[in-house]
Amino acid sequence: MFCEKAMELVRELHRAPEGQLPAFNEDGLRQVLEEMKALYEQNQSDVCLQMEWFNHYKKSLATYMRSLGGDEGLDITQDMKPPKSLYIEVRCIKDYGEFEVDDGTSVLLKKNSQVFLVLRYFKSYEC
Amino acid sequence: MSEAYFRVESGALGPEENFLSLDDILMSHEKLPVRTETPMPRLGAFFLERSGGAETDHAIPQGSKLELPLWLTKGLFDNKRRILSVELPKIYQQGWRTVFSADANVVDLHKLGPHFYGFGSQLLHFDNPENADISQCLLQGFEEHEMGCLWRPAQGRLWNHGGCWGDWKPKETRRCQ
Repeated sequence: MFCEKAMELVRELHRAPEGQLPAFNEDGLRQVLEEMKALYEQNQSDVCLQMEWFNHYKKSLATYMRSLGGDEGLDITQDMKPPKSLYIEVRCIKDYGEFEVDDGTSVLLKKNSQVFLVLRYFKSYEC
Repeated sequence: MSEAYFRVESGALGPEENFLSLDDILMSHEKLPVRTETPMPRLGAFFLERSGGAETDHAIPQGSKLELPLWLTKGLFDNKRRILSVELPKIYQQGWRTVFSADANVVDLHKLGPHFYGFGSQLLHFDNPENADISQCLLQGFEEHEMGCLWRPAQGRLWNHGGCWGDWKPKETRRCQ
């Protein structure tokens, strides 16, 4: 367990007189390389499992996002933090004209103008 | 070229041990007590008496107490302690620290652990509340030992100490790191 064979090799070198190398321990080295190979292969198979899980997760998330917000779906990964305020500052990328808000007031949405609007009107926006 | 190779010196007193230093490799293999904070699948293959057995995929349950080498503990530790929490080995705890600070030269460091200072320095990585005291104790002890090295050249015990400094040879004027 825990690379005992490798530690033996290190101790062998550590014991050697200053500046000299002991004879090459081919057998010891081979055992260590085999142990490394076995660990690596176990690790690989673990990684495969994780990849499978992740692909499944990705698909579930994509399906869910597509099912929200009408035809286009909603990208919920856009905002990972909850909003700090109710309002959002928005810049219009094209002329829309008058936009009527819940309380009856309307806002003129012209290209490149910036306005404050209530957060829930937006699925995707430029900040 | 008179020597076949040159040893890489220990870095254990600094922030990290040196990857190629034999002293540091040996030091880092020493074990310390840990507690698992999350179940660990497949680790049971190395700890058969703790393992849940083949049916559980050799999992080690949460809350198990194990001894792991320092290098592995450092690799798994995070400051939120989600994977492991680390206990101080006895010789770095309050009781021993008191003995040590009374007179560092009284304590036989080689018996306590051949890499007392290096290992102790690396222990500071684990965010223990006693870290300030530990580092103070190590520093003080080291100063006393170094003074002892200068003023007591004939005492066998200090010279055979070995420790994380490699071998202290009376003839060398090279100072311990």
